Amino acid sequence: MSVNPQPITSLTNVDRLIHEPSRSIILAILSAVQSADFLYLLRETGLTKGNLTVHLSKLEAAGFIKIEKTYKGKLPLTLCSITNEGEQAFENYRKQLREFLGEEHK
Amino acid sequence: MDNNLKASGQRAVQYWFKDGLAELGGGVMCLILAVYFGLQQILQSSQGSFAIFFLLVFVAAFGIRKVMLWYRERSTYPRTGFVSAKSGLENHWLLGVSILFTLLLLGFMLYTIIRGIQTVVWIPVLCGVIFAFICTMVGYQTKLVRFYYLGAFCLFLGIVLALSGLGDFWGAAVLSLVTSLILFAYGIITRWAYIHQTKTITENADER
Repeated sequence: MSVNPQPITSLTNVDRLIHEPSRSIILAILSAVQSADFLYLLRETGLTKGNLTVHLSKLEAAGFIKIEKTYKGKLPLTLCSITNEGEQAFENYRKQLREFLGEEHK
Repeated sequence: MDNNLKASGQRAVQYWFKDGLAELGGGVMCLILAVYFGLQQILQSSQGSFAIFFLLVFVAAFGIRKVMLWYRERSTYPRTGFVSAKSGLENHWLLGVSILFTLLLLGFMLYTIIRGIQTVVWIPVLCGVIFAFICTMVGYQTKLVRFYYLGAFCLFLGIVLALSGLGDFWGAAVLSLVTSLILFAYGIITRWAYIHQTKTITENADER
């Protein structure tokens, strides 16, 4: 009986930066919208301000997201948006995850 | 896990309808349409007033959107944050269907004008189809089932009103009024739930 090792290795090859749950949630949210602010991400992820800042900084440093400080009327906003590179990386990550889980369910 | 990631993204798409303001804005818009159709029937305006109709729709839509965004900046963003939705142009299928629908609608209107049909044919059904189309598109994008129900109801009501012999403009006025009442109900319920489930985040002393 031969077992195809491909599905297992597909999981070991995932981008570790995205594989962290909080960061994958952040990218999932940002890939569905044009931009979202810090407060929205804070509520959706359930992280503390400090934690969220760290995760956003890591994603920004990797070039996956863009952070911009702006105003909406008189309201100061920290707007985050996903870059093309981030979108591509997140899509690859999801593809690898699907491949792995698809094989596992058989 | 992939489904959970999808759900996170979906919630962000639905955010525009989370605070109920979009439904309330839509309700006001339909109410303006109802008043307009009612006035058309009472005053027996000429066909040339259709130009005013389009102007009214655009000005009202623009004005309502402005007021809604102004209020949202003061009530929603400080509570639950700001999300800018994608323009929708990325979804080529959705864009194609919208363009096709608009072309069909304009073609139909042009046909009635060229053929010199004096009375506008079946306005309630036409309005029902337009409302149903808009609701279906919103439902498809946001996956909020309540918009599918509203769309189906608008189509059904449009046909019933057209067959009832109430008259073109009265029928359209009733359709717009009923749609606006449903949207107001949706908006008020959603707004009430939103206000009670969320509160403005205040910074803790050590975070200032």
